Amino acid sequence: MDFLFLKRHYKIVAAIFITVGALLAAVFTQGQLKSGQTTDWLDVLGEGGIFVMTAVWLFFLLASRPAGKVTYLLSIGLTCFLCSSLLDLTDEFVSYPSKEFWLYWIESLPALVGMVLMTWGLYQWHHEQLKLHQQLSRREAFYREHSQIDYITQLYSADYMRDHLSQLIAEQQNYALAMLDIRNFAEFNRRYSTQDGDRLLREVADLIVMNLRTADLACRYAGDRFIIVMPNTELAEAQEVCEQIQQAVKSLAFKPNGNNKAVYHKIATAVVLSEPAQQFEQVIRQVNLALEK
Amino acid sequence: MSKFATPVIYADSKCLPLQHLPTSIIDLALSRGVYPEKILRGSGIFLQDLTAEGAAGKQLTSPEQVIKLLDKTKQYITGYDSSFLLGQRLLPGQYGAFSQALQHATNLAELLKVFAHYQSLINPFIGCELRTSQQQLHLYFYDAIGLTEEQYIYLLEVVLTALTSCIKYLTNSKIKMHYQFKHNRPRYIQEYEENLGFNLAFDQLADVVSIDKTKLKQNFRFTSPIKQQLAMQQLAQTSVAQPFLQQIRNMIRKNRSLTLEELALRLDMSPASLKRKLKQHKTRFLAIQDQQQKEKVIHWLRYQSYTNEQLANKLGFNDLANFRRAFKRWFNMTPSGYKSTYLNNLNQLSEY
Repeated sequence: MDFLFLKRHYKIVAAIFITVGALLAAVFTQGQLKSGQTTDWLDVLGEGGIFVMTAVWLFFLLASRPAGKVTYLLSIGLTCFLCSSLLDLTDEFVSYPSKEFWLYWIESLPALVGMVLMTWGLYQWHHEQLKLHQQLSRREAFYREHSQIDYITQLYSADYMRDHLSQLIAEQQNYALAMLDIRNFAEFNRRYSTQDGDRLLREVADLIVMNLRTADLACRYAGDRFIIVMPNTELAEAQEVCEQIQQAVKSLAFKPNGNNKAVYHKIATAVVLSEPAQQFEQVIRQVNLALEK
Repeated sequence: MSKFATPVIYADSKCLPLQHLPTSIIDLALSRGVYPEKILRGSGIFLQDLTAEGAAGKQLTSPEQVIKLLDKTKQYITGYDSSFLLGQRLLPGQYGAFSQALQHATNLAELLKVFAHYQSLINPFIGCELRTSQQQLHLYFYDAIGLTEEQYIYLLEVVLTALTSCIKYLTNSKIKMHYQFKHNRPRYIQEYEENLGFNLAFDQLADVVSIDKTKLKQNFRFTSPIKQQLAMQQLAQTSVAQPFLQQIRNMIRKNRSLTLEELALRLDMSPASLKRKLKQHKTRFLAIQDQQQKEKVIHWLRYQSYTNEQLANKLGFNDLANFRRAFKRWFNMTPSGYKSTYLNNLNQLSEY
């Protein structure tokens, strides 16, 4: 596992440790240790489990989110919740001077504050997600499946495209399917290096996405083959988009590593329209064969 | 007692240079953002061996170790393309005389002969046997070291991609090749299409690549008869080690009535230790024998349209009843059932 953001959150992590430390110090200086016989171990297990799991949530939250308002809200909220569950847990071992002691009194308060903060954070997260979805348009359709993202191009893979197509068929939408393939890519790979080949794939993928309309979706099919799904599109329109991509790739002056001389590339394209209720595998086959010619 | 001059490669024989496949695997892992340590763990290969100057050339790994690496590769590298990526640049490669002989071949016929003869130099995992029919040349592939089905399919993808992309590179054109596979159509069919082409048939009886004889005279871009001849002479002088199961197969092919005891005698080991060795390589004597016969039947029925009498005769059966019984054991069906299952829809198969 690669905990991308954890190091950047050192201030939050420090604040959490200080809070929890201070709380523990307060509990053990103010309260008195109970004798072992009165401990209810089932309670300890339940409350301890909640404490540990909350800590794990907090950890993954910090490990996977960049800094920002949403992250602050969620982490402060979770920390409050963590404090409540800690007090709950220490209750089992420590008794306080009186029923009205302040540590009793605040036991459930942080949890409520935490839940309010987290709710607000989740609402903000929702807005953030809408913005992100806009950023991802043409790369992502209506659902997210991170295991299907291709490592090299950061586009979705053929599996995702198949799922998307069956979704379109279920909604009885027609679509145009375009297949693109970089000419002489294997040759280029052998001549330069796979690193250059990978970078070329990434850059061509970016160019493809830049030339798409917002409703279109581009995926990496296999090797140097890309596939574009264009819902409710006429053949002429789809072909126009393909030509625009061809133009864009043609003017890409790609410089292989350690080379000042640019290498230019061409791509071949083919477009096929789906027919109502046609199996998508058949459409894919058609467009594949059209590209072979 | 005749001892074999050619050395044998067992699953645990150290025979593969670290700089070949293992290095390609690690390179692939790195380009996919996977820590090489993860893939090397438990394989007995260490990262410092790979990077140590000069050491990588000398250090050897066993088929077993490389298979372990491949299992891990499959586990850690996401996507379906790792076997194909490994295959893409394997050939002609830099394997000395073998690569030279491939690279400077005059035509496809020559290249395929060199490949079928000497490919075990770089690939002790999957064996390859050349057969001909009236119109085509066929390469039959089989497990030569004892692999699980999953490992076999993965390595077959590597080998076929290597061969196909090498031919494409050397002829600078697309040569139509036909592929038959024993396994069923994979979900990641796009990788097969991209790397091997569209003439694919799955659920077949053997793993075969077929090329029309008319294509065999196709010229190559780096043809050089002198360099090729030199390379061939060099190859002829080296003793080509054979993977264990390939060796057994070849011996059984030369003498089909060979018994386990005779085979053990020829290999200079006791029947018990031969049995144990075979078990270590995930097979039995009878299975190899059957496999041989089966493959012949498959080939003859598909490409020569022999009658049952001719088949029985060719395989050395004394009477037809015995042949039929054996046939049923091999294919779980009668010869006529076989014909209607596998031979009536041939045209559909070759069409895609």
